Amino acid sequence: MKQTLLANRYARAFVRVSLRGGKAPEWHSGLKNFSVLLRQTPLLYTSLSNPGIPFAKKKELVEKCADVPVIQRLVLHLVLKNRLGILSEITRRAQELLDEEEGVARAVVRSASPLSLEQKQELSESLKDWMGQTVLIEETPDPQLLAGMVIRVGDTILDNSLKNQLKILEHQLAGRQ
Amino acid sequence: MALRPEEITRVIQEQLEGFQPQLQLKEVGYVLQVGDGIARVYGLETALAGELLEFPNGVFGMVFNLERENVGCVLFGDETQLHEGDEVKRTGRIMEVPVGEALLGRVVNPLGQPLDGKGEIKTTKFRPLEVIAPGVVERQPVKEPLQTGIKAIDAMIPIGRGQRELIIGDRQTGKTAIALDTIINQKGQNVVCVYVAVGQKQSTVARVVKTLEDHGAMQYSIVVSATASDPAPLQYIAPYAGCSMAEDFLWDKKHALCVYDDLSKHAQAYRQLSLLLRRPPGREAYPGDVFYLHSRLLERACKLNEKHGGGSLTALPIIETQAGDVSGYIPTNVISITDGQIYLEANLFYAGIRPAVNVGLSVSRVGGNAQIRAMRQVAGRLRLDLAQYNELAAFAQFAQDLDKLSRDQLARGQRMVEILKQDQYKPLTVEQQVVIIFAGINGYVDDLGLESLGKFEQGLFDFLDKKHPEVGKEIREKKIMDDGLKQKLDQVIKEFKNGFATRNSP
Repeated sequence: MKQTLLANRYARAFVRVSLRGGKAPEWHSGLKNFSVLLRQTPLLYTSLSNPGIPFAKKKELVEKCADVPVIQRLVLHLVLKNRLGILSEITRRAQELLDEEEGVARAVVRSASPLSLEQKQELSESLKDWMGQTVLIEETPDPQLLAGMVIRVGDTILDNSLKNQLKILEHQLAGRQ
Repeated sequence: MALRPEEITRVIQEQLEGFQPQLQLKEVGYVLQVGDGIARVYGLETALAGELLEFPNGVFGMVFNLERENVGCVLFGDETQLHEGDEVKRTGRIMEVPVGEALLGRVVNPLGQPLDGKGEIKTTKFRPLEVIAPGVVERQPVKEPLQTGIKAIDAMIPIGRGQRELIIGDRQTGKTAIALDTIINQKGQNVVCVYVAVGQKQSTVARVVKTLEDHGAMQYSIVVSATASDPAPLQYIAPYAGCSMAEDFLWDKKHALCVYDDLSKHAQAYRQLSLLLRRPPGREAYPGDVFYLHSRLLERACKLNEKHGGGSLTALPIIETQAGDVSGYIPTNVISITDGQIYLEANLFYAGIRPAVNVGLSVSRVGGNAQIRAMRQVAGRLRLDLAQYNELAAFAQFAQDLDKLSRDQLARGQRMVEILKQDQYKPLTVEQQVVIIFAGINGYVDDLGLESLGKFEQGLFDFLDKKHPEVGKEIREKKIMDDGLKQKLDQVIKEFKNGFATRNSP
């Protein structure tokens, strides 16, 4: 819980700086890339959080991995404060703040089979009507749903999967509410 | 009834044909932290305070704290099945408990699930856990007595239907005994009793249930049990659950009695939750709203007016004090909320005065309205007499010789104290109480030895039952002591006393 609070602070500061810099989307994708890199190469994470390695070396390493100075400074700051673990949380939160700033909602769509381009288009438009703002769609396949899709926007979930329908049917047949 | 496979198939077929696939809309959050009966949930930005939340594995929770980053909630289930990142759904409902006649004779947990192994509770009625108490226009003043069957209480600290009377005292002074006697005495009085056990030992609750069963009181009672081993959230909701179950009878034009045993443990459970959710501690580390915690519960006790059916809900909260200290935070709070208190003292208890009611400190703010006229007539002077006796007794310890008047007053006082003693689980009817107190205050027992008073009382009741049942009937029906009745009582008591004296003379 403390982590989300902390991450929120860092993300807010990062977003403010990048909005002032005028390159918010680029810088954010840079931060995202670094975060993914950090997750995928455990060696990088261990070396950055190893107190035995001098700070100058870490600085060199970070400068090689990320090219934008703001990102370098943010990462080095986190290294100094021993808070590198919350970087992914910061990235996630920064994304939310940026979306809020631009008036864009992000919908995560889990579907049983991959969506066609028209389907995506249609979905995006109907979601726009419903939400009253532009909706970006992130698609992840999930064969476990059997058929249909589950759309998640913020805290709200629209469940239209066969799996859920079967579950409701099961409840009805068993006489439970 | 034999079911044929084709029929089952047909039923299922009908169900399937009638099934409408629907888009399900739900709002969710994610568990950040679980432990000690509470959880913090990220998201759920639209959740409302007090709303019911659904966790995985059939665990439910209630929104307690709305914070900027997360929602703090209490859990009513097995928290070990929850993990960080689990999905939490809003339900849009508030907490409800099952109510109705089906609960009578059952032992349930605060969620209304049976604990007595007597099978499922078949009821379709539910009531919200927390409701706003009936307002001024729906009520009327308390006017009918709720007989406890205990002489000392019915005579001097009468409880009315719809009243809230606190039972307060140290541990082991007979608080639960008074509540149980009251429940047992409601047999045949058309009063439904709810006994809520909060933070007690399982063995104690089992003993209470056994006692109620042995006296045939379980058939009109419900026991709601949240023992010391239950998580704090269940202990916290137990009194509200019991109250909701009793309220169903209240609105059904019936009379109900709800015993909360005890509210000190309830406050402690609430303190635990509040501190874990980081609400700021106040006096004795209780949160600031601990007064409201009890006031909103006890306000729900009421006597409805005739337009709303005239039902009543009487509350008997119990508070345990530490070493007789009534100036603690919780005792003072509850004393100020209730319409009076029955104060039990360890000293009196050990001196053999049982029930150990301290007459000076106990009051009932409803007073004489909650007594029948006859009782008011005979017991009116009793409290004053006893107060004078206590004063004189303290003084007489130092005096060498006393004048006759003082000696007589002492003798009378001693006999009244003796008469007010009563064994547990032996409730008396109101006419029996009136007769024995009449005998006491009018000096019929002044010449009897203290040790023979118990025998005298029992003998007198048997004598009245066998020889003069019309006297009891008259008191019961007329509810007033007129001169004729007084004369008759005088004759009957004298008649019995003559026989008693010869039988008991050496």
